[in-house]
Amino acid sequence: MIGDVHGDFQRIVDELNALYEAGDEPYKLKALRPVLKLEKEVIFGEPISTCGFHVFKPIPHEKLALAVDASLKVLFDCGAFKVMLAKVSRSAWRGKRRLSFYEPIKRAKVVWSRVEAVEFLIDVELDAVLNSLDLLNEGSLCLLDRPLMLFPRYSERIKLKLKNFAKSLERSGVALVGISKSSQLKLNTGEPLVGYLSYLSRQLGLSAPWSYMPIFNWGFEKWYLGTPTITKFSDSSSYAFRVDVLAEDELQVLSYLAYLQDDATPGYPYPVKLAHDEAKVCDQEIIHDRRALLEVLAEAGVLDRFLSSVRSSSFKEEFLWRRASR
Amino acid sequence: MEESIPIGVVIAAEGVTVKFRVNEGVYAERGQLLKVVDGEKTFIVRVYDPEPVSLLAPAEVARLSLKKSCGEQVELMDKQLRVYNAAKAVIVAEVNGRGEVHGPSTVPSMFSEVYTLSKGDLKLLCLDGGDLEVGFVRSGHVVTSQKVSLSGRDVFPHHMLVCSATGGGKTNFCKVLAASVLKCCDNAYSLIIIDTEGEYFDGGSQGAYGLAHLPQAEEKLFYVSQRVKELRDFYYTFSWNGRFVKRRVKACPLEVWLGLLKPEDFRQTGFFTPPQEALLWIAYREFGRSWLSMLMDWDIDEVYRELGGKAQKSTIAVVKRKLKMFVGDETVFKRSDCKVDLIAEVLNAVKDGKVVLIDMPMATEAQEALLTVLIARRVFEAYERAKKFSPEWWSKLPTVLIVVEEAHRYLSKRMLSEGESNVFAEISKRGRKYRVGLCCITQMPSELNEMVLRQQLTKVVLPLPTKADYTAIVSHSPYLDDAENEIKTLDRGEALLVSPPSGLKFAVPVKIHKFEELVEEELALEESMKAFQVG
Repeated sequence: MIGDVHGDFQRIVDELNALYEAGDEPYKLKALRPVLKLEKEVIFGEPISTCGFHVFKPIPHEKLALAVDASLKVLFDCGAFKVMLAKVSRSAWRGKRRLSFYEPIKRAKVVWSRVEAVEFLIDVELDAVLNSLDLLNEGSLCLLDRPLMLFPRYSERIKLKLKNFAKSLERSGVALVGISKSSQLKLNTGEPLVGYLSYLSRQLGLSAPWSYMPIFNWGFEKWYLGTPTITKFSDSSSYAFRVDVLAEDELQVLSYLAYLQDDATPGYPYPVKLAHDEAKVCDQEIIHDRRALLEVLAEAGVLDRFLSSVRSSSFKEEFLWRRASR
Repeated sequence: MEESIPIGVVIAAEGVTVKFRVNEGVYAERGQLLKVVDGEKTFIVRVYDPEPVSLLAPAEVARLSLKKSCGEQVELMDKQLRVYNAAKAVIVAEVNGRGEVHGPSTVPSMFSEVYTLSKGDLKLLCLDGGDLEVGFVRSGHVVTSQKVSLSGRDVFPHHMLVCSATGGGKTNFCKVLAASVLKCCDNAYSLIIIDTEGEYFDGGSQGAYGLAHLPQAEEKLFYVSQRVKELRDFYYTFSWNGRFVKRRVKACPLEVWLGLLKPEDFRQTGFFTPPQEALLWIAYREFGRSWLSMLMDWDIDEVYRELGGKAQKSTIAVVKRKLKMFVGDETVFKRSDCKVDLIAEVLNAVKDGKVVLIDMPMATEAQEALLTVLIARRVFEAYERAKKFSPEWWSKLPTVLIVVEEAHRYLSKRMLSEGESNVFAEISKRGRKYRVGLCCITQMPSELNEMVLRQQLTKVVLPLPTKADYTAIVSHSPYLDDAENEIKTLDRGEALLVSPPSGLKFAVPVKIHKFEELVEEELALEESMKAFQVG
């Protein structure tokens, strides 16, 4: 069937109208519920309510904050497995003042699945925090750029590591915060939760930073390390984020976090942004690390075999890296 | 500039340029000379482009600037990391561990430290090896104590170009150069200046100084002016520091007998079209030495008849009008025989290593052009003959520099197109062999013929805000790559000096001496010498 794109557009409009219609009227709010699908299990949250919005103000402070982020790149794609490179960056802050520069840490690993790659990333991130634990004390903030979740697909080892990590911070009185730049949380209508709550906050005329919680009241504890919230840190920004907080007073921690913004990037804590920027792996780094690995493989006498594996996946990589290794 | 101060850290280098991060609380100024220390090597660099570096995204910059423009406070976390000043600089020299200076052969390593130059660093650059002092090294707009001088022996034969916009300091530079030539102890150089504005002899206005104010004028200035009617000493009196100073300057009347002029002298002024030039030559052939008076005095029909109709009557009419324009009221070019042979006297003065100042403030543009051509031709011919027929005598002659004001009039692309030439183009091409140099002064270097621009190896580039002009200079000079912004932002009296013949291997930022200050110094020195002698 040869269609017309304008006809498609019209169908998109109709579909979205049907999606949004549900949340248009306040009396319909109760019918809206957050939904989290985890493998075979579905968790329904509390019905959406305007009472869930908590307005807060940034609280100036001189607390220690450690922001950690990591990025992952494929060094070599061998089809059945990949050699991955992770780069972890850390930045320590006292209030709005950066305490020290840390050299980013790089790690590499052979991974056989997507889950293993994600676990590798979690591993290196957690190790980076654990190596800096002496910096943190009671009242400090530990900021991660990931949801504080124990996905069912994670291995038991990594789940345990995450739990122990969270416990050790909790014991030390350190607030653990996970900020996700994108969220899969949605409403039972299918509409993204973050988008809907942003829309609703505008409808309600909220002009200050806000946080929406609770999202789930029960049944989420075994999957979550902290309390999930949807938070907008600044009224100058149009973005809200899913922020998971493991602390006694979530709103207070969010108020501390809101203070760690500046005018260049309102709506997002700067330490987390910086950690994210510093964790980026540039092309030159990739080239350098690829060469370094090839040299090690050549010395160990497994280069040819390895390049055969690479060749199974990519002609270009085999061609380029054999030459580079000479 | 006495001590080195850390100013930044190298963050990039390529070819002969480096980029460095500027430390907090200091500035890198365009034109500033700095050094980059990398182990045993030191690189001398000249800043040409300071620029802020921002890691902020365009949207972030827009947000912050809007906030600031609305009068709100802007807060930026980690500001030193995200926003900082950097500067691009060109490597002008490399100093090795033994203190030997070379052209740059490599680039400094990343994160090498950048410092201001110390007095000792400036000394290493040998900027004061010449005998004609012109100014001080400047670092940005800051004047240092390091003198800059030119070697006249090497610079003059390879010609000079002095260019700037109006009021940029061209005349001041020429006065400074003339003062340096006057102060030279030996008679190694001669300078010929044709002054149509009356600025050189006594300064031309209240409070201004001229060459006559310098004590050395008595010995070495040869003054050609309508203020004297015969070859004699001219006395110029002025008051300084509460006393009267009287200068005795050798002077010569400004008058040229028309009988000395040949059609080529007129042709080279550029005032005549090819048919008009042809008429000049036909008249010269037909009438001999009286060709000019015949052309000027006879009526058109008479000339037409005598030339056998070889020229159009309309051409004859135009040529007669133009010749009258040159001769005018006979203040400079005279029909009657003159008491003094000006050309011979000028050549004598040149031979004696004097600064010849031809002062003709009342002259027309045409008269100035004719006299400039005439003098340049006769001096060049004299040197050419001397070298060919009496090389030993020639070798003892001073090196001569002819200052050509408004050089674009004589050396323009139009004038020298299609194989046309004139004495200035000839001197540009061949003057070096005979030690006759040109000092072209212009405010429109873009108008100059490209070949001529290239042959002027020493360039004094004063403020030039017009793109066509600074582009022409940058394209035809070594060491001026990336100097456009600097050239157009120079202040009055600030220059970039390019002079490979003087051994300067980079564009030296110079603050040209202020002539008035030089004179004050000389007068003070003269007074103290006199007091010493009396004592």
